[in-house]
Amino acid sequence: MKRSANRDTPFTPQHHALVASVRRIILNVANTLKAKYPNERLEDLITLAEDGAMDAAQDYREGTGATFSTFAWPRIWGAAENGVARERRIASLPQRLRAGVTEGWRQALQCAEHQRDTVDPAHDTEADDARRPAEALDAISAAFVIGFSMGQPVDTPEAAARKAEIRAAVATLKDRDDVVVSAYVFDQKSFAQIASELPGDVLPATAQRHYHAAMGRLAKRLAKVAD
Amino acid sequence: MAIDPPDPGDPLVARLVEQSLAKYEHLLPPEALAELRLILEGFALTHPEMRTMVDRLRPRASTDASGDRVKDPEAAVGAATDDGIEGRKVG
Repeated sequence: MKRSANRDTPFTPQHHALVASVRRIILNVANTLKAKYPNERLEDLITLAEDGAMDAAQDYREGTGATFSTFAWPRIWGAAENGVARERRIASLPQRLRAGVTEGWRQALQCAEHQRDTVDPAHDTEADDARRPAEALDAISAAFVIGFSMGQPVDTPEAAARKAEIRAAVATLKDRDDVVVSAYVFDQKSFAQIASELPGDVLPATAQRHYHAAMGRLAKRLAKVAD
Repeated sequence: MAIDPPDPGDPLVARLVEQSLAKYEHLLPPEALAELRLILEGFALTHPEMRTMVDRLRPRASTDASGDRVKDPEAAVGAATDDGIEGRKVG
């Protein structure tokens, strides 16, 4: 089991309150991983998940777009899952795949950070209810595919072609979506950085919304067309 | 937010995950696809917003007064892929 490193920054009562607010997520993550890795102790999994929540609490800034629970989920899941198995698993992969899988995980978890339930009870149909979970999963899949493809070393014609394909897909996005996704995925800039570089008074939360909408469009472009 | 503990063997989640994987399997080697499966399962089972979305897919008509869920929500997933769904949300 691998725990994340403790930080030097003080952990305030506000941080404790944030962690307490996601207690159910911590337990759900720990129990889900316990079912997948029965040899792990539940207490250890909870500790790992708590580490992720504490990490998130220290980084969370209200008003930047995500609620704390959605902001914290990738850290909670990531810390617990990584602590029990991911590094071992990735280390066992063929060398040529490791960088891509690592970057795929990073991009997918970042995409999850911005996932929102946009239900509108007054207007939604059953079709809307059916569509949303599939679209959310497809956005995560697209983020992983993009991360994997861009993280792979360009040492084969296939890898080079896949990177070009991803860049071409991003280039088909509308202007601002293209800029935001390119800056976030290819240049690894933060949403605050991206917002500050966009023309006009753009908030980081607005840049996040562009990113998430764009991932939905990219998911559709990259998906295999059903026969 | 959904309050029930997640069921790792949830057939509705399994079907949703399979459907998403099928759309992107042509872009990933099997090892990377297996990693993506882990992420999607964890996301669908434990992400607070995603769980709520998944739970809305479960058939409401089969829920009894105590709130127990139907054990076989597979039919709802079939609906998720059906472009021909009509009608407004009930209740």
